[in-house]
Amino acid sequence: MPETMAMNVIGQKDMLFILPEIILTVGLLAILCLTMMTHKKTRHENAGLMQVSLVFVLGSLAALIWQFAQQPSMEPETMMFGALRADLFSYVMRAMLLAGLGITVAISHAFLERNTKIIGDFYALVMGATLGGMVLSAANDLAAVFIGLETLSITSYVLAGYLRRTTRSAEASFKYLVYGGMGTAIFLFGLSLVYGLSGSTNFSDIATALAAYQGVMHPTLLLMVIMVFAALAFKLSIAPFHMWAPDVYEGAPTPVSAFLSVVSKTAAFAVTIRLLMVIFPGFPAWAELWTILAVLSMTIGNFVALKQRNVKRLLAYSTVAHAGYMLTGLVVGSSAGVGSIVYYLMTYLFMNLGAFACVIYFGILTGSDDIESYRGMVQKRPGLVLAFSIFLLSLAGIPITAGFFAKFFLFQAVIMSNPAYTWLVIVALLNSTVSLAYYINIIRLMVVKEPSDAVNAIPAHTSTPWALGSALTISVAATLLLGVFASQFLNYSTESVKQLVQERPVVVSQGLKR
Amino acid sequence: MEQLPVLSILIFLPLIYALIVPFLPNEKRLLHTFSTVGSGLLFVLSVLFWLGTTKAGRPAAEFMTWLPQLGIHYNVGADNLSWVLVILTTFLVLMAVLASYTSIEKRLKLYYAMIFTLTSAILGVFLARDLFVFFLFWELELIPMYLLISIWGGPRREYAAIKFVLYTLFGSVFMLAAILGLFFIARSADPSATFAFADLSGVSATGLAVGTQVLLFLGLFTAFAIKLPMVPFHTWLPDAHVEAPTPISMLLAGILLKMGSYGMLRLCFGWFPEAATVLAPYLVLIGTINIVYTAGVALAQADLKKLIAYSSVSHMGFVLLGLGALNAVGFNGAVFQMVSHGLISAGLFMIVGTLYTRTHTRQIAEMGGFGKVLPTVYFFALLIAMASLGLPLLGGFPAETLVFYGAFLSNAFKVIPWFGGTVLTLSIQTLTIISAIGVVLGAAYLLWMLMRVFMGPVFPKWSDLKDATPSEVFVLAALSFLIVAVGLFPNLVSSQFEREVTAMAQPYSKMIAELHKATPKGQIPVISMMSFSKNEGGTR
Repeated sequence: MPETMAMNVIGQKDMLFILPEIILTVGLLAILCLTMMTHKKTRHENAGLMQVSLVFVLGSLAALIWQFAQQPSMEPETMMFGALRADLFSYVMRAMLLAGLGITVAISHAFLERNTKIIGDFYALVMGATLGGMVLSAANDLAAVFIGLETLSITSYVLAGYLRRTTRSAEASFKYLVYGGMGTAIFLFGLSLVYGLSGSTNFSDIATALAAYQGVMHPTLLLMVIMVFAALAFKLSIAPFHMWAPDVYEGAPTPVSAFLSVVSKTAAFAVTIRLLMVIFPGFPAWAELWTILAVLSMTIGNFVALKQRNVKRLLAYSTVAHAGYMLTGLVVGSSAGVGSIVYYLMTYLFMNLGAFACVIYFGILTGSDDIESYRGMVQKRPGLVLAFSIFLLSLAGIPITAGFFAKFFLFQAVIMSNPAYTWLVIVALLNSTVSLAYYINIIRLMVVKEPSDAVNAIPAHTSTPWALGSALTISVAATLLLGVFASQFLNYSTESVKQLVQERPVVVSQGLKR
Repeated sequence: MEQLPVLSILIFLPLIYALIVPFLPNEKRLLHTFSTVGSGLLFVLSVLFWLGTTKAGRPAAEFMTWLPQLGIHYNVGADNLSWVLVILTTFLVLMAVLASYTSIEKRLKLYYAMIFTLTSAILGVFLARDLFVFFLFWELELIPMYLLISIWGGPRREYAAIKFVLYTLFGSVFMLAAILGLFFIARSADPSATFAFADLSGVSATGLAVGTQVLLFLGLFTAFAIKLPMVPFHTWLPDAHVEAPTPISMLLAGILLKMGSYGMLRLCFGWFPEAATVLAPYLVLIGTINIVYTAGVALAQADLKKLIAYSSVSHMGFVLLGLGALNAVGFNGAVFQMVSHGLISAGLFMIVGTLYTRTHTRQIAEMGGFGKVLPTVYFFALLIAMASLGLPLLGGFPAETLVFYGAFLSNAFKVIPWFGGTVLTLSIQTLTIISAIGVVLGAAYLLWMLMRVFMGPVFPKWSDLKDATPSEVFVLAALSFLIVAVGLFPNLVSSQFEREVTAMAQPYSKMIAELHKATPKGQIPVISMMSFSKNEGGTR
């Protein structure tokens, strides 16, 4: 076995592979130390903490890109005793997580400075959560999956309750903890069944062992699939497992909602895709289960969002709907379909974080997350309204934003992989028609309506904090350009998934033909 | 000229305007002037480019690799059918900008930015030669139109605007599904197929089952029928038209509806001849209802703008009738109707707009005797209304004549297949005669409208109204000039697109003749999906 070498010692290769994680860990510790050293909590010190975190995040991203550039051929390889797998997919997903983290850090500072005195811990926590997500998206072993998931989840519970003096934040944290603990328990039970059936925690061993069950309707097998899927659906906040999301998103501090809706969700998709592509391809109930969940998720998400008055709640339901769209790619399970999900996640990262950045900014300006309070905002902050409109239109899938391209590519991939799912695409498209109604309603209030009192009270010129401003600029640019220049990104997405699929060509082809 | 990417310049120049406008100083005069000069330049360029490419003797086409792995490329091109609509667009945009002088007061920067984005999208639709690009521009038009109606419109503008958007998006759902389905079929036959029109237009000829063809046809058609608008999908239009400000009504009626008819002709009828033959009876039937029913509804309107809006729907029914005739004359008539309807309806909405800016009412009952106080407006109103009701030597006449002639000559169907093997004994000739009632009704509501609005005693409150301003006179005169010119020299217009449009009708004559031959002597041919499936058994 060529892997024996790697099985025995942690070599230089392994260390280089996890270099981004190492940098992030060092950054996390550095921030904790710096927080302890800065007692005064002056503006200056706080800004310094944010800058240091940004440096570490960007350094980690640079290390990742450097590592990636070192290996042009990108042969998949297992690392760290087979616990992680260095493949294109792991690089793409980790890069997205780090980009999401960077934007989160940049947009959260202005919010934190206004609402709390303890700022450093926040950065340490989001970095820790992202660390979990990064392990999750490279995981090649059930143990690594669980460690990654728990690191991500537990830090997220704490983050949701970050403004501990606010009742809503504490409530959100508690709710998330209870629901999340339940989800983890179910997941762990499912994984124990996987282990029981296959006798291994390593993905490729499990895949080989489970291949023997092809086409068998074993009750334990079914229980295992249902448990793992239910837990994943919970993490992805897919209806009917989405109940926690609106409450948590509304109650949690806005930057945390942004983080949960994007970075946490991307990590959850990464592990879902990996589990499904590597371990469970071609399992009987897969496509049917995901079809039901996809339809439920987009329909419930969109129709409930229509009635929302709080913008964070609205965006929560919108993320539920978006998870539903993305599931259509998993339903067909082809590398094109799943690859389009990865591309969709890339665009979603920028448009959703951008939308939350606008919510943060509006919250600072008006002191409210009520959609009504945005009335007539265009007359005070035309640039910001333009940015928010671009994000919302991208979420709705209107050209020439990236969201339009992402939806088109996804649905094209679904039909090209299996035209029998044309109906599912039509359902998704009808849903996105519905979604435009609530996205455009926000634009209507901001642009069409005359200003509200809250908006009238906003001073004409206040300078935008540079971090928030540059994060917004980057997100707008990405949302506008990611679609038009999609070619290369699309290649990475599809190729990364192809590598996962190639692992077991026989089983996969059966899975696709069904 | 040869090297210039003329089509891309036309598509993206307005978009560049839209990006410049927000950075201009906020002065009304300057913004109006900039937009007038800009749209004037666009119009001049479009004419020059058209003349240039005609002289060069080959259709303009531009290509750029975009997303090769998905078969998507930036691909635009123009034959004369496209050119006619492009020039109509640039001309009407110029007219709309001029009409904005008197009717738009607030937030001019956003207004012009949206107008120019809209222009880009429309030109993109007419010039796209790749189905993805077509769809992209088709959707791009939505948001500018939404804002244009919802900010500068009448009292119920927000309702009208969202209704417009949701109706259009609902149509796009089925269009996108059909586009993807068509691409799937093309790719299964030829793995190197792309979204280019050239690759997809021939798909139906490769022995595709008629049932599938009909599905694809209907998918695309739904989007176009909503835009056209076809009964029963027309209910967004009266709302949108009535609430939209004058220049936007002109653009809506003048060009946006043409996106629907253009798509029908090029994509549905051009690509799926067999499906079109099967569906033609129903389309003609609905077209007849369109013409007669909405003309009747127009007769009952108390709101002047609503009356004109319904008359616009009624006249778009002629496009359906002409297309359903499935012959060269009918197709030419349909395209001619697009052009003349574009000019006439824009003119009628301009008349309504000039009245509204003076009186701030659209209720016909509150008007009267305007002929005495507004003689210039009266003159143009009379001329354009006469053109609309189809008076010879004016723009509407040749179009409607061609459509009627084509439909009357047509042997598209003798009976309409109905449920359970029964047939409706309505031939296309009968339906043509029925739709002629629409013309009579048209004359009735237009003349009655003229009588109530412009004749009779002057209401005391209107006695000191000011006659048309120079910019209004210019718009009305330019539109009227073209309406008269088209009426006097219909050949000049029809000869432009005749060759392409006749070629589109080519497959139909042979196919219909064969279907007729296949029916036993003495029986009336019933054309349905069955007629084709019989043949397929042999050929496959």
